[in-house]
Formats: sequence, structure tokens, C-alpha cells
Amino acid sequence: MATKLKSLKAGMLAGMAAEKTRSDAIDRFARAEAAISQHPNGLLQSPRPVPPVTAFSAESESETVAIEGRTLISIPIAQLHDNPFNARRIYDPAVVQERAASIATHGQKTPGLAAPDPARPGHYILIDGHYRKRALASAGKLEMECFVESDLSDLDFYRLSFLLNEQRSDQSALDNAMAWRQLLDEGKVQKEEEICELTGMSAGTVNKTLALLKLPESVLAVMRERPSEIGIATGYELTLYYKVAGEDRTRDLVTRVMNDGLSSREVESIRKQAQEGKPRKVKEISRQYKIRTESGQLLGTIKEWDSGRLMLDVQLTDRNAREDLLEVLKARFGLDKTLL
Amino acid sequence: MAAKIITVFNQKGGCGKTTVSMHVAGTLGLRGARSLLVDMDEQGTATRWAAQASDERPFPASVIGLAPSGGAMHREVRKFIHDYDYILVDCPPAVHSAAPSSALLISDLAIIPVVPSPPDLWAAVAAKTLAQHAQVQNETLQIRVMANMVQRRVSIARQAIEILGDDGDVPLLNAMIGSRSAFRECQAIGCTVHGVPGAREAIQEVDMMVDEVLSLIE
Repeated sequence: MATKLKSLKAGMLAGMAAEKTRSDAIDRFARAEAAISQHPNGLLQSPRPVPPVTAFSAESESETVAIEGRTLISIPIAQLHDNPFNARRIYDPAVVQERAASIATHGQKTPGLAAPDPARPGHYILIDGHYRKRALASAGKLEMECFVESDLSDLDFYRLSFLLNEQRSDQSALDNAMAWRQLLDEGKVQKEEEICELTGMSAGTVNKTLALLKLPESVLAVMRERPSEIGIATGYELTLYYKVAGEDRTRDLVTRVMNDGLSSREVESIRKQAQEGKPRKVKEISRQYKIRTESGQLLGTIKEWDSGRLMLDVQLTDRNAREDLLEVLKARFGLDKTLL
Repeated sequence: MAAKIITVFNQKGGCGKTTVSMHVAGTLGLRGARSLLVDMDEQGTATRWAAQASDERPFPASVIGLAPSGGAMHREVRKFIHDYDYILVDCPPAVHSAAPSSALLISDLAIIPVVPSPPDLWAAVAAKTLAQHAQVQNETLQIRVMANMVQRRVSIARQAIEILGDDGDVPLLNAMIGSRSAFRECQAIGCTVHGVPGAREAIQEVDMMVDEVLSLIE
């Protein structure tokens, strides 16, 4: 009985729900009719004809200042999106906090650089100032002051970001590697040579930089903590070291680089040591003395090195002469006594 | 029972709206449902696609072109809602057209196909905004983003999909469609990938997508 009541109730509810959606479906069409008549160009378009877009009028509640042909405006951080081709990839939380503290006291000193987002009217893509944006957000600010550039291509987004960071020598080799890999993967550039043109860096540097990404994730994770500690020379040595020493030892080495501040030369010698098992011998030049008979026939040589090494190589066919020399040499080193 | 209406839209061109809408419509048809696709794109790709089919094996859904009706499309669609179980609307890639708005206002589900790449991610934001605007008036509208033409082994694609998945406002469908030649071949022969010999993986992807779509609107 109870179950029957339950199923009846469920049936009634289902019927009511069906009725509701039925009338809802009818409503929808009427509602669509009303909405479309108000927005003849779609819901995102303004219902009334808008005055010609004088960028950032009072309507957008943004202050507008024009400086050197560029516009300085305050952009709500919610509408300011990270540059997907930003040259910098790694943000140190400590630096963000530091700058947030400075912003909280002094306000934003330097405007960022942004461009209108082609896909979203009213939104912007940040080209330069990603640290500032994070710091502002962390300081509880809702807006960021930015200069605005327009008509940028994907590559421009990267190029500008790279140039501005480069001027402050602000992006690490690892930042570069990640940004360039993305440009290549997405076909924004076809070859490494194009990155050389884009950045003005040599082919060798570009190649060595990209090679950083071949390091295993655990090593990269350590580098990401303070990527500026790892220059391209050290980074390249690490990729070579990884090939011979493996992941664990490379992670140890990169940790040492970060903590002890090893120079790239020191890393290089560690890498060479690992490759050869021991330090490579410095090639020494010997002084050579030729041993000749009175008639000028060559019997052999004495070689002397600065390291203290001495080598005698002589051919004495006469047995007595040979034994005489041996005696002298043995006596010189006290060997004659030990034989007794 | 009135037809469930599914709108596939994104003002970005080339993100695979027609591929997705034709496969949802066609697969539902193959499963025995009465399925209609409304082609709102003036290029008429969907209409042309269906017309490629032979007389013996017609495209498994009805396909009609209503592009000229633009923002008034809902009036036409209304006439079909009792004749079909599912109506798919394939929208044009245009920001200024009222057709997507009109379609979203009468839909149960909005699918935004997105190719996992930066420009498509950016464009998807405007598409999500439009769907959310429509949701204000059409409260039962569900919105889903779907990763399309996915190259699973490319790292940027994986990262883009992660970003799409992290959006708290508009969920990402679990199902995704890969970048496969079967999706192009089937257009030439006027069928879904189910009619392409050897397209096992593509068929699997489409079936999973349709299952997930049904689970949302049923």
C-alpha cells in the first residue's frame, strides 16, 4: 500500500514536472521572440545603437590618458588576461608578496602593457606586467594601470613580452625554453632559426636553451624555484651531465648550483669528470734530449716533464754497456742494495 | 513529448561545429531516434554533407538549411518540435548574427566545441559569455564545452584541455573528439564516422560523446 502510494505520488510529481517543462518549452519560444526583437544582432550586442567606439569613454568607467600615442587606462584585473605567449613562465611567490607589499604602500608605480583581446570586447591581454598583476591582485587591488597597444599578432604578443623582459634581463633561460617550445609546438614559428630572428639570439643559444626541456621533470622542478640562478651555460652543462649521470645525480647537482652558487665552469668540470670518470690530464709538453753515439748514431732519448716525470728510452746493443748503465741507475736509486 | 533542442555554437570558425552537430544528430538517428539538424550556416556545410549520401543510405538525420531566417529561426524550429525527438542546431561562425542567441534561448543544451589552442581558448570566452547571457532568460539551458580536433600527444593541447577543465562556470564534457581523417572522410560520403570502414576509434569517440549528451538532457 505504502509503495503504491509512493509510486502514485512519484507519478503525479513526474506528470507535474512534465507539464512544467511543456509549458516551459512553449514559454521559451515566446521569450526568444521577445529577446531577439530587443537584440536584433544577438544577445551580446547592445540593444540600442552605440555611439562610435571612442575607446574607453566615461561609459567604461576608466580613466583615459593619452601619452605618446599610447593610451593609459585602468583595466579591471578580472578583464585582464595573462599573455598566453608570455616570455616569463615562472613566478616566484616570494617576489609577488614583496611587490604586493610595495604596491600596498606606494601604489602601482609603473603601468603594464596590454592589448585589447580580439575575441572578447572589453577584455584585454596583458603583455608586460604579469608580476605586477599578481602583486596587485595579492594586494587586493581590482584594477591595473596599463598602456594599451592595438593590432597585435600572436607573435607580437611574444615578441613584445620578450623584449620588455629582456631589457630588464628578467627572464631566465628556462622561461625562454618554455616560451619557445610553445611557439614551435603551435606552429607560430616553424624553425629554430625563426626564434633567432625573433629574439636576436644565436642559433647555438636557442638550441641549448630548448635542450633544457629535455631534463627530467624533477630537475626542472628544482630549477623553477629560482630559475634566474641557472644561466644558459650552466643549463647546457646540466643537460650533458644528465646524459651520463642520470636523473638523481642531476637533481643533486642542480640543487648544489642553486644553494652553493657553483659557476658554469665548475659545473662543466663536474660534468667532464662524470663523462671521463676522472679529471682529464692536462696535456704536458716534455723536453727531449737525444742520446747519440760519438759517431752521431741515435741510441735513444731522455724526456723530461715539468710535472717531475723523467723517461729514459735507450737502445744499447752491447750487453756490457747496458749492464754498466743499469748498475749506475740502480745505485742512484738504491736498488743495488735491495737486491742483495 | 517535445523535441530536446541542442545548439552547437562558437563564433570562432573552424572549431568543428558542423562535425560535432552532424555526429550527434546522425548518431541519434542511427540509434532509432527521430533526429533533425538545422543548418544555420550560410555556407551550408551540413546541408552539403548530408546531400553527399547515396539514395540507398541517406544521412541518418533530417537536415534542413534555415540560415536565411537568422534570429527568427526559433519560429521555424517551433514547427518541428513535435515531429522530432532531437533537434540539433548548427550555428554560423559569426559574432554579429542573432541566430546563436535565438537558438540558445530555445535549447536544452549548448555545446561549445573548442580546439585546444590559444586563439580558440580566447574565443571560447566570448562563446561562454553568450551562452550565459542566454541562460539568464532560459534558466534550464545547460552549457558544456567540448574539446574537438584534439591531438592527444601534443603538450599544448593537453595544457589547453586542463585550462578548459578548470573552468568552474562552464563544465567540459568528458568526451572529446580527436583529430582524425575519418571525420573528414565521412563528409565526402555523406554519413557519420560509423559509415567509414576501419574508423573504430572515431566511432568510439562519437558514441561516448552522444552517450554523455543524452545523460545530460534526458
